[in-house]
Amino acid sequence: MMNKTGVFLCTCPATTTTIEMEKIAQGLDLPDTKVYSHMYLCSQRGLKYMEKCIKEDTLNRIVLVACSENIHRNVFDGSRLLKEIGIEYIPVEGVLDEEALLKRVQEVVKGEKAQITRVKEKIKEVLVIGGGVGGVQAALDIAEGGYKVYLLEKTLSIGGAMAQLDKTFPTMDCSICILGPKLVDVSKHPNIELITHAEIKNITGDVGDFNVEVEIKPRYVDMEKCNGCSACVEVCPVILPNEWDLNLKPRKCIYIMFAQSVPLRYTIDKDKCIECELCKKVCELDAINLNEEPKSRTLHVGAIVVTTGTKTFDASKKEEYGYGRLKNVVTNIEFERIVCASGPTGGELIRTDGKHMKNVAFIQCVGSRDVHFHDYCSVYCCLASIKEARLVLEHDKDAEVWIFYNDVRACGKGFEELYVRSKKEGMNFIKGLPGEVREDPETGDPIVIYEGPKAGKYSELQVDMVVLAVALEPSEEIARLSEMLHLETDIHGFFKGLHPNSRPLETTNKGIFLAGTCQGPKDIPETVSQASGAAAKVCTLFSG
Amino acid sequence: MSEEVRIGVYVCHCGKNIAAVVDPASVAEFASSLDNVVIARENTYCCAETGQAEIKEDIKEYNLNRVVVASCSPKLHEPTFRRTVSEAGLNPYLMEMVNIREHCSWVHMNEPDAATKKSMDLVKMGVAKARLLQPLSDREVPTVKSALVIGGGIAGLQSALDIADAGHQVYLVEKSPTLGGKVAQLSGVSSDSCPPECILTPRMTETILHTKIQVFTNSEVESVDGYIGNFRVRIKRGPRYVNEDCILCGECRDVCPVDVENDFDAGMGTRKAIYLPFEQATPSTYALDSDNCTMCGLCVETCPVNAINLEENEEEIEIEVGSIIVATGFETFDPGNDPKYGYSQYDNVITSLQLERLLDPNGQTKGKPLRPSDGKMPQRIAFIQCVGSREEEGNQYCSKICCMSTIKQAQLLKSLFPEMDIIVYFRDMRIPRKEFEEAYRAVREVGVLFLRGDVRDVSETDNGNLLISTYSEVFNDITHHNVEMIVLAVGLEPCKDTDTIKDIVKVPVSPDGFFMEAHPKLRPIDTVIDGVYLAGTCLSPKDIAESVSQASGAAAKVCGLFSKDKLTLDGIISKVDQERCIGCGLCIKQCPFHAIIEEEREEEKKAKVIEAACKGCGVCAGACPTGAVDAFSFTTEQIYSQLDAALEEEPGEKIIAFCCNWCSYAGADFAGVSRLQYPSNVRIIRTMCSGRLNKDIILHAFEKGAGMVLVSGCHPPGDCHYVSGNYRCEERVNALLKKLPKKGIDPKRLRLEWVSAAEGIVFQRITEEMAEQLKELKG
Repeated sequence: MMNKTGVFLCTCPATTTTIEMEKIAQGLDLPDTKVYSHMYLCSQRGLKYMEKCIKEDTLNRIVLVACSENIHRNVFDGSRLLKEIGIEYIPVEGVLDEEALLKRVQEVVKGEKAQITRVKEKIKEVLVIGGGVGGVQAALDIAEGGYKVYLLEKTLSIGGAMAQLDKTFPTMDCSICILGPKLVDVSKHPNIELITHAEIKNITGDVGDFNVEVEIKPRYVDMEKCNGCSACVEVCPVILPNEWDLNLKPRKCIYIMFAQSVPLRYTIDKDKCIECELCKKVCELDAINLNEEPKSRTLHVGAIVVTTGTKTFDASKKEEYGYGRLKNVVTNIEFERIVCASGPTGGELIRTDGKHMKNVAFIQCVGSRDVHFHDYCSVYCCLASIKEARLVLEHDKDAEVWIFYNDVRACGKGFEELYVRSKKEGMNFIKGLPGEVREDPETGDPIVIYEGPKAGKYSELQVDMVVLAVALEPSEEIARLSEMLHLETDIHGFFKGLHPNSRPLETTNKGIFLAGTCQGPKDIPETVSQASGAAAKVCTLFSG
Repeated sequence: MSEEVRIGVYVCHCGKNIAAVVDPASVAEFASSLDNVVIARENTYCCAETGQAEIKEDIKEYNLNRVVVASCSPKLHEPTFRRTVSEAGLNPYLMEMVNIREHCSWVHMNEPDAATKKSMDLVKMGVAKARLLQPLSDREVPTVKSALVIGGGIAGLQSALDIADAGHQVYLVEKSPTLGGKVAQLSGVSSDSCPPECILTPRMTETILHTKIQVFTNSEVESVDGYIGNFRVRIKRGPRYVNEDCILCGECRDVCPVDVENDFDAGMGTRKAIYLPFEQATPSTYALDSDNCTMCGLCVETCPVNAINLEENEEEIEIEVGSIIVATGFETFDPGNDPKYGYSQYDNVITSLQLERLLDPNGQTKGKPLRPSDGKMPQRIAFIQCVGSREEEGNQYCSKICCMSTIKQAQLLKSLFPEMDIIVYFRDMRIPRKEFEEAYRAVREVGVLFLRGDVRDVSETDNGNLLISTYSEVFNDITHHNVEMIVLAVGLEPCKDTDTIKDIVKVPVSPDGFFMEAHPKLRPIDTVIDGVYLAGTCLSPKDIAESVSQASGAAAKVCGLFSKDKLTLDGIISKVDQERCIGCGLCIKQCPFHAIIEEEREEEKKAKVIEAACKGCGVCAGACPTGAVDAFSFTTEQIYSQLDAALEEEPGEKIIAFCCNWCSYAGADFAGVSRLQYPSNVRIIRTMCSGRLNKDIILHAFEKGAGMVLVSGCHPPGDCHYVSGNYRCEERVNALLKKLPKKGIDPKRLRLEWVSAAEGIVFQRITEEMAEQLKELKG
């Protein structure tokens, strides 16, 4: 049968801003080839038009020139007629001039009809990288969907940043109280295998069939045997500062990260261990093995969900605020521990010198919206500071708090209401960021230097503590993984979704999905929604 | 049951949440003194792995057969602890929770002694009930693996596609003639250089062609009955009048004599009564606006393919689905009622949505922002932010997207018309997206002026030009600017149908009028109704990226539900003791779910519960005159035991509050979460529905000496989770109120109030008033 080719050019504004389709049409004067143009080929109207042309002109080969194939392929496959004939898709995405595109179209039209690639059998198991609240939610939803999930976490416990928070805004719910049960759910779900204290070494393969090499670091405690009884902790003679509580609290050399750790298994900090073996003697379950070696393991999965989260900005870079130099200037994450009932002070607002805090200043945008560091907004910090300031007032009715801000960005459900209520209740909001924080040499109190209340005039505010609302920034993990996973990152170094508005969860590498702050700062509900969304993507991938 | 009751009591510190106010040690010590309590302990976090392990070990070690956990709200952790005890081999229904956080430590923060005493009372009530708990078994019901999506905007489309791609049938109901929702009206280039149609069009086409999706346009959901896994949905499918044969030739439009305000262009210009909503409208046919059509029939005569049928009628369709996603979206705020902005007086004051339409290259003005008054190109445009958002009266919330939308529009205007002067009046620039912070800087660099201040007045000068007066806090002065056109960045409001849909699907709304999620942090997609999920802006203002993520999230919940063939429902149902049943049929009449039938037994009529259909509300138990019907987990005997325990000491000082599980108990929880302080003499008793209560129960409270009794449930008409239980309750309380004086009880001591899950503040007010009233009555 003779080939009759239809070349369909989409003239939607999305493509015609860069390419003049008319020039392509003019250059396609080829035998047995007819060129058609339509403004929105991906609309139902466009498909009707294509079907009509195919029937009227008895086309038996279709070449389509339109925008992103990733986003639109499914649309055209939705038409039975088009799917039967099979579309040869030439995406305009990334092509900058007509000449190159025309050459490409001519090649395709002159060439043989492309072979349709065969679908490989998919492995219906999933790897979720990162055990913060996003990873936990994604793992639970995928597991509920009936698929096996490996949840990989590099630290000793899942929980992520949310586990370190005291309360959550805007309802002031206790953070670990609502997160804790979810962590327990993960550990109990028959479809989830938790792999903690582990690192990805290499990833090969593609959608439906990824091979992931994982190194599991030794805990020196047998995970199977340990039951978390803590007998070992009592006898361990080595006392170290507890990183979880900003080094303000001691821990033993054999330890768990925090009380609600999942898995609740002990680990020996081998670098600090004096190998006295007291723990080994006291452990009735014979769980201690000081000679444990790292183990490697290869996982075969069909899809990967990346939920590696983010890290906080190093506030000492913003030198004028004196973080690291002045004792009573802390970051907001540190403050979460100070104010937390399970924190180093048992929830009392006490400084390291023993003084009770009454007056606390919060400085916003530390590292965010700052051309010297990160020019983007970190989203969570305005409400986080309002929440922390409320906690100060809850602890002490006579306390006073100040929030120095650029713009108060209270945009989220119930956020504005909390902001307005806080303002009415007497929280001080001062527009403009302070220029400097100094220290009163006698009391150790920080002194905030800021412009106001009159423009051009400087004021000093002596407080008991200054809390810096630090930016969120991409973690090193993102750079490492983006290489292994062949994922794109944006100019800031966060992972990039397939399309920022329309396909935020998918990536350019099919079968790999994103959720949470590894894509950019966001709050907990958005992270959780995205994680569930990524789970849906996995379910649809596996059911097809 | 002859087995000896052995109870373990666990008093949780919840870090400092409880322990900072209540003294857990003395509560535990008190608990250990109660009859049948074998062991009582305190724990920092009962819900943590260690806390749960302790309970499990104790069950084995002490041979416990009942567990009481005094911690947070059962709405939070009842499933957790039920699972804990069942892992230790105990029937999960033999665990009772006592809420000493939301209902005690958080609401009596300044009275530690009273709070500790109240906690003891609450534990005593819990232990009393625990003694009478019965083992129950869960029911298994088959799941219908199809879903209903309400709303065909970007979120609804995404949910429908994800569920359908996972292999399940989807019914998508859209009230307008085309899919697309609000995104269809947006134009121009957003921050990522892709026009919105490129986001929307492929999704609409995929949806309409998908073999697993059935689209109902011009349609509305009329009613929803049933429960998770088994909803019966009635859809009213309006006539389209134009069938699929339509070839979009437009001849019908050309002959149509009726001009109608063009809603797609946000009220600017006109369209015909038969029209194509927009270029890529899906389904791709003309639509007929029956509200405005005169039925003249000209279009029918003209149509070359006979695609128009004016006789078409609406249809009723009934479907069964296992799950429902609500994605009903938003409306933009109508600034017409606020004279401050002059929107209804002056032609050249337009909304941001109208500007979107003007900027559409395919629109009426071909992408030029021409002034409505004279069609001239304005050289000086002002944007006013927060119109209908962040108000003291009215919409208090921030609409989240307007700052970004203004930046996008300013950016587009500046790129098309570099000479144009643009001023933006704002309060705070709120840009929670990293992509837009860059755009914000870029527009400032090309000269867009951002002024922080409150717009006080807009007036017209000459030639349709406008004068804006603004108060600036920085300069403490009023400034004036002359402009040629004003764009009001209007806020988002819940869609108009929210009130109707809320009653149909029984999902409550938050104080801001948007639908309310099950938990603002960790369950942002779920609702209090199992099997019903939320997606997109019907929940709160959000941008496209957040809407589609959430919509996929909702799809994941549905896929999870459909991954199993059977669903486990709880064992809380009603039971009829046929020996005591007199066959009066009251329970049959009052059951909202037709779950009780009549059967003949030894020539006598007896009532019988259909277990799979029973929802456990207990309305039947409240109705039964002989006490033959009882509701598991909330039996009359159990409620009496709680009352007896609560009123053992100083009964006259106490206020007994009966709260239904869904609204008023949750409302009291919300008071706790919001730290709203109220009198510590309130003792809350939970039932599933206010319809569970009757005069006997209320009178029992008075007989035991209760000072005051509050009966509270969900707001009528539509909030009740059991359709009409609140009305049954109202009837019974009203009848009792009349009888109280005869019994020597002052009717002022009994109050019936409706409290929704969001009305913590109402619960606080009512209890405060009742405490006052109690003082007054005691003189």
